[in-house]
Amino acid sequence: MCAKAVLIAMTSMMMTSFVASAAEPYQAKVGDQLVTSVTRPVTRGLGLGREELLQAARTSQPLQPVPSNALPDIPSGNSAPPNPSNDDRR
Amino acid sequence: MRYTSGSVLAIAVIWSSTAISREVPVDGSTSGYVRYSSESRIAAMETSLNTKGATFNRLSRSTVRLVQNDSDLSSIGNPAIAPLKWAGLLVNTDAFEKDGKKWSVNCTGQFITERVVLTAAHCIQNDETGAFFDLNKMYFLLQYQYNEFSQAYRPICASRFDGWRSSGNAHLQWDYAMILMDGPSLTGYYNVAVDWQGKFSGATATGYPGALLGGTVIERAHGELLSISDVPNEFALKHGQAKFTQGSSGGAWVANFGNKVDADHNIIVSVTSIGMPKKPGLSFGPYLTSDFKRLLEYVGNGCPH
Repeated sequence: MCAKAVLIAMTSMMMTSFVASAAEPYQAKVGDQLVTSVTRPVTRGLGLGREELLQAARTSQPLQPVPSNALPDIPSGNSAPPNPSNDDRR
Repeated sequence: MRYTSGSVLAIAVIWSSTAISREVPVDGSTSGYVRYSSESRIAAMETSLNTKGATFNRLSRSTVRLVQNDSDLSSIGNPAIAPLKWAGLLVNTDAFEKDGKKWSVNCTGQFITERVVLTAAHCIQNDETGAFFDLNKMYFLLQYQYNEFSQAYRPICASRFDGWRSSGNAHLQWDYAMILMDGPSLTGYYNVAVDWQGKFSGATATGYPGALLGGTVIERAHGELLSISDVPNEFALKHGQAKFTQGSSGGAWVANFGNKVDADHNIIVSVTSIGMPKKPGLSFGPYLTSDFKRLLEYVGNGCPH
């Protein structure tokens, strides 16, 4: 087997290995708080094309969780009037 | 040329009986669309938005009938100009499987620096299972509107505070996340304010609620900011729009909303976290503190281990 074939086989095995491994969440401390992050492996392909993305967007379901615990009553009051000046400062 | 929501309804009614081709307004507050870049995608987006009558015509007749029944479409925003040109649809493709079919889920996101997109924590992590959505299957479609977008971005890394997974309502204050994207925003980004209490009394919620034209348009809804005494660092926005529901998660609450691009306008004060069916017209979102700035710096640096 020539050196070129060996190199191609090894590269292929390495790529397969990278692709198969899912990125695990990891923790870090940011200020006083813990954060959890995920990173996208950089060995992936180009991803979905424009039409596939539009199809996914069209058929996707909106996310918004409903709280498991009831929130307290909201203070009463009138909604803010129309805001022609676009000034929300107090 | 200025259009009103009334003209939209008129167009919808006419189209229901005969096919037409004309410009459909997206924002009653603006008189036109801004030319702003030589980027081909942006130019294409602008062209698309200016000829969206054709796109609109592709909507199903049932959707058009829904439009006719909508009392007010003036809440539809214009993603060709500031600030909504900095926002887009965040799509997690193949996020779950049901009845042997894979489904995608969506949220709203927006650039807050050249490379970082802000959204809700539950938009990067499955609220029920606790599993993070696969970043390989996550895409951010900038300026998504009427089945078009200007640029697709893929994440490099995403981060959220662990407080989001704590028990009780206190976790709601942590329902935001940041995503480092694989390229810079072609259109710019929002300002952000932290520890803003006492400075702003109102804001404009933005997002892609599924209840309005099937989530194909970005909407804006202005209202009063109300603090919630029993839940730490949580605010409500009383905008009164019952249809501003699922799909708007992660969408910015913007103080001094307007098309001026300067430090005094378009300031994010929160993002939509949850809604409650029994309280239509209200959205809930976290109050941003100095922790927000620290997370932004961390994510901007690539979410280091």
